[in-house]
Amino acid sequence: MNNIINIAHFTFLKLLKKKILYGIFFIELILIYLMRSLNIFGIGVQPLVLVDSILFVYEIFGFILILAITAGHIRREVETKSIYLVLSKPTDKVQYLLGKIIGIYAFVGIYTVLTMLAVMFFAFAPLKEYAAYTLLAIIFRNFFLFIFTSILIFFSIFLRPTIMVMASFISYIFAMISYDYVDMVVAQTYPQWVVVIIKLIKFILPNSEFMDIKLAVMQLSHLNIWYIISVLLYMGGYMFFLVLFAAWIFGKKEF
Amino acid sequence: MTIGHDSKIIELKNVTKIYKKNGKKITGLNNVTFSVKRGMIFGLLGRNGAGKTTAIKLLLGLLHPNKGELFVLGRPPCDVKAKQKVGYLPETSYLDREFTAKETLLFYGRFFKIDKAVLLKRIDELLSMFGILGYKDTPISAFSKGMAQKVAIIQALLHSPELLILDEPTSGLDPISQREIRDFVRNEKDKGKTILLSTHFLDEAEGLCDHLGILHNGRLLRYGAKDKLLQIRSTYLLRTSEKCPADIIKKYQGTKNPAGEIELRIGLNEKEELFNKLKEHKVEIIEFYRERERVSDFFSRVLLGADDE
Repeated sequence: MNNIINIAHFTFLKLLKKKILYGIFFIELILIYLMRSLNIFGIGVQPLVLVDSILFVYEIFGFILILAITAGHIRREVETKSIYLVLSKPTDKVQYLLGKIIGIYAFVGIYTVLTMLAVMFFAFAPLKEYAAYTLLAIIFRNFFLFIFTSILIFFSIFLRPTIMVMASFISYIFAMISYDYVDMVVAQTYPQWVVVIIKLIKFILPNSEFMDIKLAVMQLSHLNIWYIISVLLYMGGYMFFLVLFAAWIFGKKEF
Repeated sequence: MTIGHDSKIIELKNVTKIYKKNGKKITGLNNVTFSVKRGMIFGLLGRNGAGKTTAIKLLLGLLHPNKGELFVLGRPPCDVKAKQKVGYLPETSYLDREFTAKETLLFYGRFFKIDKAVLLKRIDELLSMFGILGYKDTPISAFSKGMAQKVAIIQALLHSPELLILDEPTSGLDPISQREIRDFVRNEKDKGKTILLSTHFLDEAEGLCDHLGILHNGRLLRYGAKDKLLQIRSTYLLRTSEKCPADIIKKYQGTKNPAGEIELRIGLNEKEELFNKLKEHKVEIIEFYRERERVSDFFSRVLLGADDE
């Protein structure tokens, strides 16, 4: 366990030293501030639109952030051979991978907390009664981001960075398409087998709609405790099996 | 398993490693058998692609053999207890350049469950020993190659390992850094450490190693004690002071060594005549011995023989 924490801590510190990640967060802050300013000046941005925009910005920038973190992260350590130094110590590949994953999760968690603080600082007043729910919605989208982080780390084990970025974008788009859209739009245009394949891919990928509480925020409706528990179980189970699978593959790799 | 004083620290038994590169099967090591006993400096020599790095990766547990078995301190290389006693210095430092020397060493030291206060003290001691204590809070990116290599050496020494695996430790370093690292290797041997040294520099192997192994295309061509492997020549070497007369130097094709002394190579039948001449001119004889093949000559001889086969 000590080794995993050590690697996670070092990975977290390593990410903190990457200036590009600050750049991504800074642009996100500017966008949140701009949307809030448009609301104050009354240029058509109502609280509900502001909620929608904040969640959209968080999701997109969160995705870019995890892509920037994970694309080639492990592969680079293999290519620069810094992994040799770590694996020559009393640790193993599985501990190494778990440490990396936890370090990256911690960084994504900090990104979420900072986004929530930015929302509170810039947009608490214009959001009015939706503010608390918006923060909750960000936490739920963070769960989705955690799952996607696991998927990207999984990809990064065996895909080249460019292919990994393409695969990640395609996966993200598939995950974000709603089942309703597939049934109502795709099914009207494409043959049945295309619909079946898309639904199969969507079944394998995390269910974005399941972790989206935007509607509940907008209607200010209470969240059922069983729904919250099932989301947590879904996130935990998905991440657990994906990390387990990734660790199994990584453990078999030779460098 | 407990390791005795004369025990084998490294043992490879018929190890074969085949790996794929660009879809082609490559035999990294082919039925290699050797062992390294406690306190030895074992020099692993070979050209690029000979299999030295494959052997080191196997010893570090980064690769697994297709055939045969290998042990480090009596255990499989992946065993955590074996790894706790091994220090590895890579060819280039492979350190994360955005971290300071102290941050880097703390990270590597924590794997050995050393108390933080003890670890910090040890880091300071080693940084001081290598003359870079003043740079402990400097990022590695600001270090010269030699300084970064010293940090890499320190990470290998933090836990006082019994076995040091050094992969081309002086490659790409300036002569002073090379000398410092060679002195360090000698010191570690004096402390009783076992050292596996993979090197291109044959003079380095000549000066440091007591046992040698020559790898070529994955096969171990020669292996054994350096003194037994190197052939004794029929010529003798005589070293005199620089006062040696020019006609003697000319006659025996003498050369000046870096220390300014004159070296004369002679056959046994020329010995008496030369000794008399030197006595006549009152020239001091510093050393006189039967010449032994140099490691570089041995290496060329073995490899040429292998290419002819």
